[in-house]
Amino acid sequence: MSDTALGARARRRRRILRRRLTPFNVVSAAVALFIAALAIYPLGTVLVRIFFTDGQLDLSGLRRTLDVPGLGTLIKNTLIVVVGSSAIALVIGGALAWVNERTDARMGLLSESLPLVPFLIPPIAGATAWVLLLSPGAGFVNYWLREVLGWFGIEQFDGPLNIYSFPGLLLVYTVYQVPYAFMLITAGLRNIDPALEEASRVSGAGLLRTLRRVTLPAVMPSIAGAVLLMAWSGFGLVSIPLVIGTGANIHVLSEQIVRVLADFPPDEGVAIGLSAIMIAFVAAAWLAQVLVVRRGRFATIAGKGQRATPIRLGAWRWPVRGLVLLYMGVTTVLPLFALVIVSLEGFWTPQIPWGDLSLDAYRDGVFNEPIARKALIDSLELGLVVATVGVLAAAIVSLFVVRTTPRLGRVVDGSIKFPATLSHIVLAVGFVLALGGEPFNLAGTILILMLAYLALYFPQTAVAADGAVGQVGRELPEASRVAGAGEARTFGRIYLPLMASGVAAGWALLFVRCVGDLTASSILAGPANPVVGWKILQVYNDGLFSEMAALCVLLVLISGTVVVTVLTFTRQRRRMPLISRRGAAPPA
Amino acid sequence: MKVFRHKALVVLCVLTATLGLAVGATAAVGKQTAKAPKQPTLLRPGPALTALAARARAEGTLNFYTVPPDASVRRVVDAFTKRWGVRATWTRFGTAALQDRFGAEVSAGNPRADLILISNSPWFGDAVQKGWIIGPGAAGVPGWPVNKVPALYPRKFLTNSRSAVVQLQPSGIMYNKSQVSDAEAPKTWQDLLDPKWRGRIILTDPTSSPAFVDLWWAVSRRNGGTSYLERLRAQARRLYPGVAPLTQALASGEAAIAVPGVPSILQPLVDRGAPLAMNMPGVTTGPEAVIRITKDARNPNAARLFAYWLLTPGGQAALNADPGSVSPWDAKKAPAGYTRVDANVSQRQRDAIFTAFGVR
Repeated sequence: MSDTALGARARRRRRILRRRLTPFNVVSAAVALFIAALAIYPLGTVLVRIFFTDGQLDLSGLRRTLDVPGLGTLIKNTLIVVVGSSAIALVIGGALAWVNERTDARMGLLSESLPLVPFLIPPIAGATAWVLLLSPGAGFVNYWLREVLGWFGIEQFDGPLNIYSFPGLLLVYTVYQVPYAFMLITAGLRNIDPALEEASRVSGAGLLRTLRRVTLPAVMPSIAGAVLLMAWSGFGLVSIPLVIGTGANIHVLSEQIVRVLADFPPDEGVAIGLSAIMIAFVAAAWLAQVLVVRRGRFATIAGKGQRATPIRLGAWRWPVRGLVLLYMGVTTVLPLFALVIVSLEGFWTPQIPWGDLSLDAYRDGVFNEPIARKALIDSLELGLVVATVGVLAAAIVSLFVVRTTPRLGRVVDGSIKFPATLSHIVLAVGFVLALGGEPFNLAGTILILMLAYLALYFPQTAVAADGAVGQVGRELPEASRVAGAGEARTFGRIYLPLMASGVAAGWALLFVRCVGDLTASSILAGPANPVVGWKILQVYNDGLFSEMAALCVLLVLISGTVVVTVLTFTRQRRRMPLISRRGAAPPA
Repeated sequence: MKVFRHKALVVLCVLTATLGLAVGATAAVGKQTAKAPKQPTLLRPGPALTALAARARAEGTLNFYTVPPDASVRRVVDAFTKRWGVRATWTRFGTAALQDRFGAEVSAGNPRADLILISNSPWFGDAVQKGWIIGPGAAGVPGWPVNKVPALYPRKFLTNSRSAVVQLQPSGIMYNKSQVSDAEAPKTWQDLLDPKWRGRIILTDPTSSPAFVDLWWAVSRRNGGTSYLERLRAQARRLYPGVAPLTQALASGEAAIAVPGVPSILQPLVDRGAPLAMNMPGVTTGPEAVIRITKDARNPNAARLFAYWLLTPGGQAALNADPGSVSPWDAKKAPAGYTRVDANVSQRQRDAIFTAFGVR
C-alpha cells in the first residue's frame, strides 16, 4: 500500500475520532464507565473472595450448584412463576395502558396512577397483605366469603380461596409485574405517532386489526423492555416466595439463594451458581430486547403533532371502565385496606374490632420513634436524588449505547445491566467489601446506599430509557445538528423532551425501587444511615405487623403523592405542543 | 377527566395530612422509666471499672447488633444510658442476617458494630478463630479474668467458644385460646401427635434459623428420633418462614396451635389483646443470646462497659424483664426440662431434620 493511501487512511481515522470525541460523547462515555464500574467493582470483589482461595482459582462452588437437591424443580417452579406472571401482566398492563391512552374509557389521573400503587408497597408488606386477605383460615376475603356462603346455608371452615398455592403465588407476582408493563407500554403509546393508527382506521381497518398491524409493532421496543424488566424483577423477587412459597411448599431460585446464604457456613459459591442460572434466562430476555430495539422497524417520533383522538367505545365504555376499576379495586384497594386495618387493629384478626381500632401503631411505631421518622425522611431523600441522577444518566447512557459501535454498545450495555441480575444480597455484601473499608470507608453512610441503589436499580431505569431513545426518530436530532446545535444541546432540547414519558416512567421506577428496597438496605443501612426498608424488616422480624403496616401505609401515601405529582407534571408537559415549548417550530 | 385527576391528588394529600394530624395530636412523648439498677455483685470489677467508665463516656456511644425485639432492646439501652451516661444504637435482625452483615464489614476492615448480642450458633467458633470477635476476658471486661470464668458466673452457660450466655428464651407450644381451652391445650411434644390436632397445627420452616435445628434435635432425641418429626409434619397445616408470621397467623385464628413459640415475640401480641398462650413442654431448649466484643471496635471502651453491665444484676434485670426470658443466673426459672444444646452436635443432624420436615 502506498504512503499516500496510508496517510489518507490515517487522516480519515483522525477525522472520525475527532468527530466522535465531542465533549458530549466524552461525558457520555465517562457516565457509562462510572455506572458500569459501580456494579462491576463490588461484584468483582465478591467474586474474588468466593472463587479465589489462597491465590488459587476454586470453582467447586459452581459445581456444587448442580448438586443442590431438587434443582430441576427449583428451576421449573421459577420459570412457571416468572414466565406465567409476566405473560399475564403483559396482557393486563398492555390493556390498561391502551384503554388509558387510546380510548374514551380513560379516567384521567385515576387510571393513570392507580395501576402503579401495588408497586409502591414494599414486596414483604405486599406479600403479607395478600396473606392477610387470602389466607385460607383467617384471610379477610375468605372470612367475608364464608359469611356470605353462610347466608345460603353453605357452612365452610376454610377457604374457599388459598393464597398458599401456585395460583396464589402467580397472583401476587402478577400484581407486582403489571406496573412494569403498564408504565413502559404507556410511555411507548405516548411516543408513537397516533396519526399512523388513525390512518389505519380511516383506511377501513378495524380496531383489532389496527392494534395488531400498527399499534403493537410500533410499541414493540416498550413491550420488549417490559418483558426484560419483568424477567429481571421476577427472578429477583425474594420476599414473595419466602412469605407465600414457604407455606405452599413451592420453592424458587431467588429464595433458595437466601437460604443458602443464611446457612452456616454460607455457601456463596452455590449462591453465585444459582444466580448464574437466573442470569442465563434474563440474558435471553435482554437479547430479545436488543434485537427489537436495534431492528428499528417500529414507528418513531417524527416531529409532527402527536395528539391522539380517543377511540369512542360507545356502549362498551362503562363495561370497560368497570373492568379497569375492578382490577384496581382488587389489586390496589384490597391490599391497602388489609394493611390499613391491621395497622389499626394491633394484631391480625379477621373479626375487625371496629370500636377498638387505634392509631397506636402510627404513634408508637413511627411518629414517636425517631429512627423510624429519620428512616422515612432519609429514604425519600435518597429516592429523589438517586432517581433524578439515575434517570439523567440512563438517558445519556442509552443514547451513547445506541449511537456507538454495536460491539462497544453491547459491552457497555451488558456491563451495566448484568451485575444487577445477581442476588442483591450478594451484591450488597460486595459493596461492603469494596467500598465499606479503606480507602473509601463508606460503611454506615448514606453515600454507600446511594451508590448501591444506583447500581442495583439503574438497569431497570436504563431499560425504560432504551425504549424512549429507540422511539426518538433520526429526523429531529439530525435537523437539530444541521441547524448548528451541538450534541449536548440536541440532547437537552430534542432528546430529553421527546423522551419525557419514558424518562418519567424511569424516574418513578427508580424512585419507588429505592424507597422500597429491602435486601441491600438490610446489609448496608444502620442507625447512622437508617432507611425505611431496614426499619420495615426490623418490625417484621419483631412480629409487629401493625407497625410494619403503619410504616407501609405512610410510605405508600408519601411516595404515591410524589409519583402522582411527577405524572401530573408529565401530563401537563405532554399537553403543550412541541412548538410552544421550543419557542420556534422544530425543523421539519 | 380533570375532576378525576384533581380528586386523586387531593385525596392523597388529605389522607396524608389527616393521618399526620390525628396521630400528632394524640401523640404523647412516653419516656421509659427504668428502675435504678442494683449494685453489681455478679462480677468483681475493682478500680478498673471507674477508669473504663470514664473512657466509655469520652467515646459517648456504642453501636451493637442484636436479636431481641426492639422494645426490649430499647429498655436495656435506656437503663444503660441512665446508669452510665453512654448512649447506644443498634440494628436488630435475625441471627443469620447479622452474621452475614458483620462478616462482610469485618472483612472490609470497617466493622460498624462494637459488640454483638445474638443467638449462639457454630458461627461464633468460626468468628473467634478468624479473630473477628473476642470474649469478655480477652476484651478486658472488668471483673472477668483472662482465660478464666468468674467464680459467680454459672459455668453451665458458657458456650463452646467461651462466649457468655446472657439470656435464655425457652421455646414452647403456643395455642389460640379462642380455639383451644387451657385444659385441652397440648402440654407435651407427644400431645401434638393427637389426631384431633391434625391440620390445626402450624410450624416454622426449620431452615429459617439454626435455633430451630437445635430445638428439633433436642425434641426428637427424647421423642423417638426423626420419625417423631415426620409425624409432627404430617399433623401440620403448613410451614411459616419465621416465628413472627407464625405467631401472627396463630393470633388471627389461622390455626389452633403453633410451634415453636418464642416468648419475646408472643408477649407483645398478648399485651395487645391477642388470645394467645403458651405451654412449656417437659423437654425444651431455645435461642440463647451471647455477647462478644468486636476485636477492632470503634468504641471499644463503651462496648466493654456495656458488656460488663449486661453481666451485672442491673443489666440482667433490664435484658430479661420480659415474661419468658430467663437470666442464666436465675436458671431455675427455666422449664424443668430445659436442655442446653451443643450446636456443633445438633447441626450435624440438620439435613435429617430438614428431610423429616420435607424441606430438603
